[in-house]
Amino acid sequence: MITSDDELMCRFQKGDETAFRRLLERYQDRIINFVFRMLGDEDTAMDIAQEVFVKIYLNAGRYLPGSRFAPWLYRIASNLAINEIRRRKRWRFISIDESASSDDRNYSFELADESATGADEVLLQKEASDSIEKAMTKIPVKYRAPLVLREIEGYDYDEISQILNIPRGTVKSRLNRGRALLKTALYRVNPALKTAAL
Amino acid sequence: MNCSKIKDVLSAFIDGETDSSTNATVQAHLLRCPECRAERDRIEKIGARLRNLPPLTAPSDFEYRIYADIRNRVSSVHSRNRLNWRTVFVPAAAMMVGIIIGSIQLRSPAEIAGGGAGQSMARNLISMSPVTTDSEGLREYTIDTYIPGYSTPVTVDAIPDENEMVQPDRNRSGQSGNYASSQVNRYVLDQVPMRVGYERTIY
Ligand SMILES: [Zn+2]
Repeated sequence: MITSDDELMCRFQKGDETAFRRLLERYQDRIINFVFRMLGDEDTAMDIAQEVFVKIYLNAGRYLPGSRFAPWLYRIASNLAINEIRRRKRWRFISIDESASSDDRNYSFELADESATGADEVLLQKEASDSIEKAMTKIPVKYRAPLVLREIEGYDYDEISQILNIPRGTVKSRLNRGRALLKTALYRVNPALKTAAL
Repeated sequence: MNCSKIKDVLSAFIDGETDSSTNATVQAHLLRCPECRAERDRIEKIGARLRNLPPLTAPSDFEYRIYADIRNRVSSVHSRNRLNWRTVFVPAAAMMVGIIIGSIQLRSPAEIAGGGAGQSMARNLISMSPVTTDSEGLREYTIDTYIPGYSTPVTVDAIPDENEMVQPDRNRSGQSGNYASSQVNRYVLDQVPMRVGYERTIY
């Protein structure tokens, strides 16, 4: 039988180190990927994911027994990823604008990649992957987070609302807007997908 | 609903997050509107592309890095809350014997702590557990302590030199009650490079 996350957390709170390790094993890849999709940079994603688990370890006392572990974990992860994006914004003048005041249409997209001509299917797939990765980094983080949680992690709106600490209605509108922005970004990054993809 | 209204709810519809009357409306519209159907397909296709991105996996030393990070932070907290290591060392050393044996037998930290060494400070050592084994096979331990009057993390100081370490002899382990065991293993103790502890919140 699979031991629940909650039970493992409770055991860890009582000093059982192996319980923490089991949680780590269970979630490390998911958190790494979640952060990676948020940031688009592998090395930083590893560092942030590491930080997530260190925080979980050191703040285990804040976990409320009987509550759900995963949303808490993802909340820490999304907060750290968002902080990282903000930190970068202060360092570089990159336009991954996420301030509420700005207009969504103001993003400076890079020039579209040259689309492959006569490339084989594998190459096309690889290119499509690269394109969507790139497109994700072009949309504001406030839309990126719910998109990753929904499309990749499979959370429902109530769960996303808990994780990101925003109302359910906001989850709904950000997903709607986020998908539209991602679509636009994707077709700008790789116009070939507009017709080929569908 | 017209196309623009449909497009507003399409995303939630795809996620199965619309109510039944909206579902019926959208479904009916999709049947007769190729443009909205195409939009739905685009959204679904992009979702599929996201899900199909090749995933990363944790590097093999990920767990080690996490524990090293934790240890560094605990140590740096320690430097701000330094205790005289001698005040902690003796009972801690007595407990170490227990830890070593405990770890060999894979006993739970609570069990080990429960059988406390009965020394003045030792009653405050509530739990302890091996943290990790590093690449060279050196064992490191945390000692979680609760010391009245200290609200911030405290550290049982790293032993400055192996030579100062109390060696585990049979008498000593005998004194610490529950830990008496024929498995006292000096080799293991000699390899303990440092010990750290911090206060854990008591629940
Ligand atoms: Zn329509």
